[in-house]
Amino acid sequence: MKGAFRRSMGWLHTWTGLALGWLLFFVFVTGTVGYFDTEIDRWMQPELPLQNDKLSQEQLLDMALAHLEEQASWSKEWQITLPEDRYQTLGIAWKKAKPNNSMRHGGSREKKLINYETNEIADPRDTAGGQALYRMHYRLHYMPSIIAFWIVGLATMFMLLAIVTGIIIHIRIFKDFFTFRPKQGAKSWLDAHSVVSVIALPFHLMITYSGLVFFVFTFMGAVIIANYDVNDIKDLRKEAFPRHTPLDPTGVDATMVNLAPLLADARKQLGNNIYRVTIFNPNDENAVVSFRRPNTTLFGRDDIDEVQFDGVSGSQLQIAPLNKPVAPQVRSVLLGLHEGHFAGIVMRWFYFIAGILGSMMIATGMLLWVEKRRFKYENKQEPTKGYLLVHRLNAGTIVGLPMAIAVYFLANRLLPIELLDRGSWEINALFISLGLFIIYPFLRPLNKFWVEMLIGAGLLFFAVPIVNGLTTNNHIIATALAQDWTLFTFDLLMILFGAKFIFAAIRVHKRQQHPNHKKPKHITRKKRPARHKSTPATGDAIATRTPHELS
Amino acid sequence: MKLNLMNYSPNSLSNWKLVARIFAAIFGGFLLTLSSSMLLSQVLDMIGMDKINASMTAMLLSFAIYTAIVIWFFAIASVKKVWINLLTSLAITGSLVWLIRYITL
Repeated sequence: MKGAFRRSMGWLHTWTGLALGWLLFFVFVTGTVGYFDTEIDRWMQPELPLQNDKLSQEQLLDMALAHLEEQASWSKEWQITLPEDRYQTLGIAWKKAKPNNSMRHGGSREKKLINYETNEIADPRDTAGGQALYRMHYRLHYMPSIIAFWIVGLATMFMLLAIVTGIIIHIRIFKDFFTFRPKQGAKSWLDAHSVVSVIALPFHLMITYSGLVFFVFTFMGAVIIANYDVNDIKDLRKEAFPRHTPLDPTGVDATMVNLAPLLADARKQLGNNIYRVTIFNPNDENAVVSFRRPNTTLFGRDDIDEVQFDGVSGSQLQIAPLNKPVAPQVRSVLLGLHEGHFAGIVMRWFYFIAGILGSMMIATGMLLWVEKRRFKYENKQEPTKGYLLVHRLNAGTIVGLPMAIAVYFLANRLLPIELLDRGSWEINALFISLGLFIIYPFLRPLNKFWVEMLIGAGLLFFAVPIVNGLTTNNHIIATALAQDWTLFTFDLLMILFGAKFIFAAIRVHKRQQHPNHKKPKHITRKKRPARHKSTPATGDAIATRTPHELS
Repeated sequence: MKLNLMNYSPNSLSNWKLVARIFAAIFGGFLLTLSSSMLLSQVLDMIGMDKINASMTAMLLSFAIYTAIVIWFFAIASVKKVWINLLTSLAITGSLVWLIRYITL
């Protein structure tokens, strides 16, 4: 009974993992990159000044206010983004819609960036930025978002199933965590798959489950009607997600207080990393000024991460804590954990690394699928179409997707600046090249495309900082000298990724040259006494990776 | 207990029994997730939780419920039994949800 259950779960694990594995890999990789969306945004607009520490926050605030006064004195809401923390640009934004009760929360914003070195509205190149990478990880591209949500949601559900069944079939989870058997074909891939899965298991579970929670109303919204009358659902939204409503303007003009002392006061209360200043009803009797720091908790807490002042008198206003019911609060925590807005720079790197481990979990799983069947097909019979398809799609996505992302960065530097809809052409470049990289293995012999694609990936990643240096002034030495570590790290990471791919190419090439190059058998035995009873006692090294032993 | 539905090889994908089981797990499992989450939200409401918390809690747990249902359907040996279980539990949870909603709302 127990054996049958585990075998059944093994089947489920294999096939849920494989069926949508490539899509999940796409979701994980673009999502992982998305943890640095703001930083990538900035790299993709090299016209903006390097990181600045000459001007004080007060000077920047004054500069932004002058521009807002000039551009949008009539608007009912101004927003200023100060170059703090991750947000290293000075931005202004204002609500486009003229005062109108029905537009209380809505109304799109007009956004501009200011070059604080010249005190002019900056006119950087049109780019889709890191935001596009982050956005495509949950709503894909070239399709209505509702369709994308169902596709990604289904894939995420498969992921959750694959993780849970993976835990069930892998009961020796902690013992195996300390086991790694290199250079033994399928066994090594199994170990690699186990290690990257187990090492960040809490992250994988959290990120997958919280990913589903984003879609909770899309998929499970019908649950509400069990407890509520259909007409009450609107009230439910208000009850579950209360929010502060800004005051309406009185229409009586008033002179606003000088904001510099308020900023100093806010800094005393919140710390030095105030990044957002919002002015509701500017130049009106009901003017309100809000200062905000990045979230310090897992969810937006207005009452601890924000201070507000009366814009006319300058006196501080109390922000009442919002009374969110417990369960919606739990939902907010899950979403907060997923997005990591609260994460400082160290935590953000942990998220990034955990995301890479998640991507590797998926990649190694799919490679393992091929590796387990390799022996059978290499020595006994013609490979099936399914085997060849998976083998090729693996290379096309696992190497092709990073390559396509490198192409995306290159397109940002190489597409003509005046190109109409430039930002969408960057995205087109990503998907067109991804398509080509997926097709490529189908045109090449089985033993060639891995090495060729890995070399291609290495070269593309090396090309990013080189092309960056040739087309902009922000080459890696300039950014290092200016101590602009965000831009510097971006280029450095590209070089590291490039090197990693080249090393991988060399390793795969060597392995193909000496397919039987393995450690002597007796070493293996000592390390792992008979994990699988089916392993033949005698037999050469290849026999240790017969497919059935791993099923 | 003998597991007679599949021999765990990709070739059995052509097996209609496997298709029937996958269909039951994905679509039937989804419907059963909805009905059991609804029932859970009503039960939580009845034992004194706020309505809003009851509904939200059930919704947040629904993905775990879905996972459990799929695993359950794949752990049952015969595909016939999978469908019998699916239809009976759908009927029971569905009518309970309807009944409770009819009485309380």
